[in-house]
Amino acid sequence: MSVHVYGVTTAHLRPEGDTPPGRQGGAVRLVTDDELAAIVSDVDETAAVGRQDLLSHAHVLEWFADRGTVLPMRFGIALPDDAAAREQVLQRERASLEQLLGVLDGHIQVSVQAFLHEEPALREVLRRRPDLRAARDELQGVPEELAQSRQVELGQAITAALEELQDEARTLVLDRLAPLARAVSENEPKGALEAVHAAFLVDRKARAQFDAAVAELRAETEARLRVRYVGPQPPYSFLDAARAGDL
Amino acid sequence: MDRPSPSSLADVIEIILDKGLVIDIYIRVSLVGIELLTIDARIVIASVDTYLRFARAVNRLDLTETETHGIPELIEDISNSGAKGKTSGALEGAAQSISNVFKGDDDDEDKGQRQEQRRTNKSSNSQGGQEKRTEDS
Repeated sequence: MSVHVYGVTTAHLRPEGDTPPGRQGGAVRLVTDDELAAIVSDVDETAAVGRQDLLSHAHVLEWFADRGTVLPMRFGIALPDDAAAREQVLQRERASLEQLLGVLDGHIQVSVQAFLHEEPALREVLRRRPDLRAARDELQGVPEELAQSRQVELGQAITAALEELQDEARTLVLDRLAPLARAVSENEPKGALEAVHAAFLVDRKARAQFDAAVAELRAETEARLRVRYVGPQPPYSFLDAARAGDL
Repeated sequence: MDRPSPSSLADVIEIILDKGLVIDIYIRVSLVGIELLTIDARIVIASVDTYLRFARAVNRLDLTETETHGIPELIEDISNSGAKGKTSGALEGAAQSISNVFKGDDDDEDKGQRQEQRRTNKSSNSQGGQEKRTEDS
C-alpha cells in the first residue's frame, strides 16, 4: 500500500461524512504537520489507473475547495506512507506551501466554457457572408461525390468565418465575468464552435455574485451559446502566477 | 441562481494530468490506460471531416424563403394585401421576414436527416477516428 496525495490544505479543514471516497474507494484523511495538512488516501499503486481514479482525485479536491483553500497536487503522486507524506511534502516544501496558501487564501477557481450553437451560428455566417451563401446555393443539388473538393473548400471557408463569431462570444463572456474575478487564465478553445474556455480566480465572498453573472449571461445568450460552468475547483490554473508573485 | 457543476472526465483530463503541484521526489503511479483516455478526449481542430460536416450542415439549412427571387414575390404579396400599400413599407416588411427566417428555429424537419448524417460521419470517421467522444459520465 501507498498513500495517494490529492493536495495540501490547512489542518482545520477535516473530511466529513459527505466527503467523496478517494481513489479505489479509499477513505480520505489528513496527514498533518502543525497547521498544514496533506489530503491523502491509501492506494494500491500497482493497480492500473482508470477514469474513476481521475474523477476521484478531482472530486475530492473540489469538496475541499468548496470549504477552504486547497493547493492541488498533479495527479499521480503516491508516497510509501504517512510519514513520507509528512516529511517529503509538508516539511520539505513548507515555505513554498505556506506562501501559496497565503496568496490564494479565500479564493476558488471556477471554469467557464462557451460553445456556439451550430445551426444559428451557420445561419449567421451565411447572413454575414453573401459570398459563402452564394457558394452554398451553387453546390446545392450537386451530388456530393461530384463536388467533394468544393464542399471541403466551402466548409473550410465557413470554419474561418466562424472565428468572428467565436471572438465576439469570447469578448462578451470575458467582459462580463473578468471584472468579478481576481485573475483569469484562458485555455485554447478547441474546434470551430468553442468560443472561450477560461478559469477565473474568484474571492469566496464573491461567489454568489459570480453565479448570478453566469446565470444572466446564460439567459441572455441561450439562443446562440451553450455555457458550461464548472467548480468550485482548487486553483489549478493560478499556482504558477501565485508562486511568481503575479497575483 | 446557477451553481457550477462538478468536473466531468473531459475537464479532469485537461487539468489534473497537466496542472498542480509536483514534488521533487515522488512515485509516479502506473499510468496504464491514461494515455488512451487522453487520446480519446482530444479533438482534431480542423480536418477534412470537420469541413465536410459544416458544408453538409449549411446545405441542409432551409433558407428557401430568403432566395433572391423570393423577395419580389414577398413584396408583391404584402403590397397586394393592402396592409402596407407603400413600397417603402413593403421593403421593410420583406426585410423583417428575412431576419425572422434567420432567427427562426425551423429544424424540426431535418432532425431525422441530421441523425442520418451523424451516422454517415461516424462511418467515414472510422478511417481517421477524428470525432470527439462524449464521455462525460
